[in-house]
Amino acid sequence: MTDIIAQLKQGNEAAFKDLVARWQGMVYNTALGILQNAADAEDVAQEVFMQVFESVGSFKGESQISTWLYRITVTKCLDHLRKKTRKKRWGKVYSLFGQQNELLIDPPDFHHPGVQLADKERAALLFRAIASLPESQKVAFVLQKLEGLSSRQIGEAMDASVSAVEGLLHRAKQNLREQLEDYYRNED
Amino acid sequence: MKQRRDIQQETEQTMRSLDGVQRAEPAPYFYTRLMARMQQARPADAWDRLIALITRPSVAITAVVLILAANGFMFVSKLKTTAELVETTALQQAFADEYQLGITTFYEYDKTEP
Repeated sequence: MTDIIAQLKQGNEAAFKDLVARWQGMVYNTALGILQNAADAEDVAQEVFMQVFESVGSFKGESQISTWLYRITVTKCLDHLRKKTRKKRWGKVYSLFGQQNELLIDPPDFHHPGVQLADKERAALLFRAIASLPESQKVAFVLQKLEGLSSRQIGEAMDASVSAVEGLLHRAKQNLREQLEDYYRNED
Repeated sequence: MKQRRDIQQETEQTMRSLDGVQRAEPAPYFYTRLMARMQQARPADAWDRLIALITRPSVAITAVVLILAANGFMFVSKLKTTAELVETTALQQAFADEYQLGITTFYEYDKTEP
């Protein structure tokens, strides 16, 4: 693995292609889980590999490549979400002056392509609840559920302690259960 | 209305709906699209970075607020100076009237005599 990094530092394009082929699924899947939009996830996944190409010189190899990639992906995804929220907020301001804005329309339910058909509707409901979680809870939950990471690995990716991650996961599950219970209680 | 037990069952089942989920892969030719984007993206020069900085809403709004504050300060200080100037002029005029400093010739002095 360190061979790839060494070759990348020398500007070897074949090594970069190998790295992308090996990690594109991981990066895309994480971005898709956090952003819940295929086009946005592809966009962010491209930005992640662009940053990897540009900043590989500063990668000291203290952490695993996967941890480094998770960190960049999470940061890019959160930046993307914040940018989108800002645009949505400005859209609301513009709409007060009679200007239309497409971002005001709520997106349709998100269907993850890896979910089994029998669980499709339930997973869409769960993703809707995940979307309303606070950032850090959302990231921790997605990394655990979609990438199957342990608390220690999530902690490395989020630069947090194991106990902090476990706290985040506990609160995330609690919030999700509350939202789902509300939904089923009011469902006729 | 559903029973409390049903609600809990539904909730737990939904919470488990992502168990065993397969990893999603990007559309084919991801690397080709990535390379195309990397070739398009040129490194931003100094002007691009400057424009990007000054068009950021936070920077732009701060600049406008600072300019308005500077304007307000200048306006208030100007008003104060004008008031002081009027007062000084009035005092000077009173002094000049008192000692008839406005009279520069002998003939005018005669005219002002009661």
